[in-house]
Amino acid sequence: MMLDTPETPENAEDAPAEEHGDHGHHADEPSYLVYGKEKGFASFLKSWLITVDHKRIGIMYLISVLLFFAVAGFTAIYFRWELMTAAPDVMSGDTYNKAFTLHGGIMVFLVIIPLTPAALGNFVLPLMLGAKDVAFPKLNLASLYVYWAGAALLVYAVLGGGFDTGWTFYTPYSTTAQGPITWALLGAFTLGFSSIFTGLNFIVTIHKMRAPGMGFFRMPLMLWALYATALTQLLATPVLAITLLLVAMERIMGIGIFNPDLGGDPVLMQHFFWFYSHPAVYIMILPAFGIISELVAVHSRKRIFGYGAIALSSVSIALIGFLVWGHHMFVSGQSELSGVVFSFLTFFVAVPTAIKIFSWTGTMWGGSVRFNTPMLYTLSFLFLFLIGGLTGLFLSTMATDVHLHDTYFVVAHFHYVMASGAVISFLGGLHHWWPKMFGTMYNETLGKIGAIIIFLGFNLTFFPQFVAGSRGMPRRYHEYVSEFEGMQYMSSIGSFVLAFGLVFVLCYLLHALFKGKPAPDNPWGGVTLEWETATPPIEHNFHHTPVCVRGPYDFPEIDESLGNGHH
Amino acid sequence: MAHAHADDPNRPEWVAHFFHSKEQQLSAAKFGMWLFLAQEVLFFSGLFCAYVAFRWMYPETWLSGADQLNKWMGGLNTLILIASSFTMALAVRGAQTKSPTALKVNLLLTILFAGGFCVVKYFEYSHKFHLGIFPADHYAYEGSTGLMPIFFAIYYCLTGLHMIHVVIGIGFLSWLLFKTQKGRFMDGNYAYVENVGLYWHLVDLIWIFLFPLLYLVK
Amino acid sequence: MNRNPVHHSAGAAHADGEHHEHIAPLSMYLGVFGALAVLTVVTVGVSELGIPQPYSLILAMIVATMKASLVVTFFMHLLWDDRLNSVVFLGTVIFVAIFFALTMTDLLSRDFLNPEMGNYVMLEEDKARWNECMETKTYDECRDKLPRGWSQANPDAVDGHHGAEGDHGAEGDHGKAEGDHGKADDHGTKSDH
Repeated sequence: MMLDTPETPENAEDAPAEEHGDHGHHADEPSYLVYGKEKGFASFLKSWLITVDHKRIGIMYLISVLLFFAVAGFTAIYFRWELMTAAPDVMSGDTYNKAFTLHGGIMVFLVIIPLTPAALGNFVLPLMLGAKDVAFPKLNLASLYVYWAGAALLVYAVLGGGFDTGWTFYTPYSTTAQGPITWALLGAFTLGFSSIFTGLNFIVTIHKMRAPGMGFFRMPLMLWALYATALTQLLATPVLAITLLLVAMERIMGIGIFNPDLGGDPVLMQHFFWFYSHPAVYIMILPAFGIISELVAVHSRKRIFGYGAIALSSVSIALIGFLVWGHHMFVSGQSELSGVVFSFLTFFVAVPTAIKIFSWTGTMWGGSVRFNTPMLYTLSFLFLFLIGGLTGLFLSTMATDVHLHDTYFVVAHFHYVMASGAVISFLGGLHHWWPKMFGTMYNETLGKIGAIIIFLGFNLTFFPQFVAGSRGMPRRYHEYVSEFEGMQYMSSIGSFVLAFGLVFVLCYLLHALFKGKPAPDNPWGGVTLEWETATPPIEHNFHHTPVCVRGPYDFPEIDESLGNGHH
Repeated sequence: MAHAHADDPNRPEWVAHFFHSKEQQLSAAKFGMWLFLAQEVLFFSGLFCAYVAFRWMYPETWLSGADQLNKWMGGLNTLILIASSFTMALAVRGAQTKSPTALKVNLLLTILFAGGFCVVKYFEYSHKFHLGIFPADHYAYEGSTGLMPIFFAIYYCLTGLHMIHVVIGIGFLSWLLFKTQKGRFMDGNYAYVENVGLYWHLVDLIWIFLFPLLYLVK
Repeated sequence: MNRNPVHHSAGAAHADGEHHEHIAPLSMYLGVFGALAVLTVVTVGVSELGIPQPYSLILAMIVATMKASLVVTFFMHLLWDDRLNSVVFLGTVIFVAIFFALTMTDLLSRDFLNPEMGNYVMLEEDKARWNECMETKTYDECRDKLPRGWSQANPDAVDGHHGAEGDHGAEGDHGKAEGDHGKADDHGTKSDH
């Protein structure tokens, strides 16, 4: 399914005077992956490390994030192995506590939050906007280095004995427990700034650097999603920063703001924490919505159903996300009235989310759906996220939450939304943009097999956890009553399948990276601007400023007015 | 690298290759700074929220807490900070009117006022330390009642965090002064001056609320 | 989605070059500085008058908001700036308001549906006042002597704190009262209380 890149001769004339340096074909210039290579390896490496090119920064983010994903994954396998049996046989309780904290902390702060915005988003955002870079390229690089610094602090905390507070750092345990918790707090504090820098950059880039002709309502939905994500990153993360700073100060100096002995209030800490961490859930899921919107439209060959509704629902999810944090605190000692208010407000999140799911399904209806790898991930996302979303309603109902709180039901719920939301959609997006990123095609058959293994492994891992949780299996226990052994055993087997699926995907993608067939400029027939440039893109993305002449989903074969006919 | 723009005679040297025009670059820089300030406001809001929470929980402690603070010193510092904001605004005006002398003099005055703020704060802090008024756990002052440690925890966190911002601000201002001395900012590219100015006004803004909340209200 | 007139999202709107530079007269800056100084003197002066509690707070906050508005509008150029920057600033204020409002909803209503819940700490003074009242009056008459958020259904809960004071002897003189830790359910972490 090959399409020519749209020709826009008259509009290129209209665009202001930057259209110099048109040297004909893209092939004249080396791609972003290789420029600087001719001067030897050391200077090539340096050209990567001090680059301000958003594409290279995105790739470096991708590598770093995947590295930590592997660490967190192995940790998960390790404690799933322990959980296969009811008795504690593989590790001590202490190690188990540290292992799940490590898994949660790494997955949240080091993997899922930067996964789609900072890795994929950095790569595609300026390309989709038709810009030559983000608004502040040096800040973008700084964000990566701050990420590495924060990661180093967290790694230091892990190597220095580990910490077992859970990723939430709840007081009073986090202020009284022994161990390198202060370093972990400072690590998460630092990582917050990396996230803020990325968000700030994206907001400015989207506001100020859209290609000529691209109004807000002509942006691809991925950009709307990244915009909503960036708003959340910018406005919520500073509150986490001050919270973690206060907890660290509590440990260092005993300032007492969260210490009830001195008149402080530990529930206040949870308010501060969830003011960030609930919106952070949307930092993880909104980019996923963006990816799915792209994938579902491009691979169904149909204009997206309800463009405006999807675009605005992203922003409204981001905003409503700031009003609902108290549903994490129904049993924390928060007032019952607050609980009722938060429970009520939480249901509102379901509305824009349902609008999205409905619109995606509507997009596929009557489209020419291609069942390729990105589409399989999309379908898998729709299925998994629907389960995750609907079980969220049980948990936002205060009365049922009191029963289900801190059980495996919650664990299963947030893996269905977070892991399916962020990881499955990321994998779909990675396969979708892989040809553009690396200029090679992966093996489609292996891709489909990988997607199916991951889908099956995922369900086998987490579905039994819903059952175990609703029957009362508490989370964070490494030794449990034997009734739950069957469910836990299934879940562990599922996690091994899931891990195998992920390793399988990694293997064929690495093979594709080095041995894959060269990819054409536009393998999927997308009409957003990133498909108009070379594959892989040149250093400055476009030879001339591209001009946006049509909506992001006006595929030629469905839009008669563009006259390209059918394929 | 700015291959696409190399031969545009109307394009100033300092416009980065990925911007269409200098207006785009300047408005992006300022918009970015405003977003950064939004982030700063929310960063401080955590402490202000703790202030509101504990003030509501322990109203009498808060009233007697304000008695421990020297409102004349706080008022003096408010005036100093307002004056520094004024000179900062004039410094930006100096850059707008392309007057290096106005820029330099006003930056220098701003730094001096900021230094003055730090000196007054130093006397305030050292007086409290002398009395044994330390944050929470280390609180050792015998002459007060109520939950004073928690009041002073909030006091030290708020003013301390603000102080850190003042010190960082002095760093930025000195850097601006140094660059002005080298002849920069006179070519219309004064986004740095404007943005440091915005930052400095925000530091002032936070103090404008901090001062009555901590020192005056009783 | 027809072709729109082609223009740069940011560039073309300000194509007249010096558009964004508004150079305000010196006199305006001086006037704003004067107003800020006067308002500072006023707010310190008013605090000397001894206006009773809620009104002095409201007054001080009104003055502070006026000062802040002056700084934002004139010193920070929002009056002449791109409207977008004002949107950012006002949006930030809204988010801070959400943060404060929902957090305080919890703190203000801890005893609203469940009178056994209250705040954690009761001051020595409050306890003394409570006990003094209870010597001569009934429980219901003394309820207003309790600190806010502490409307215990059971008066024994207050007396119960006397027993615990001994544990706190070392710190007792600055009035740290016993925390009612039982109310804070440290779910999800392993509390060592």
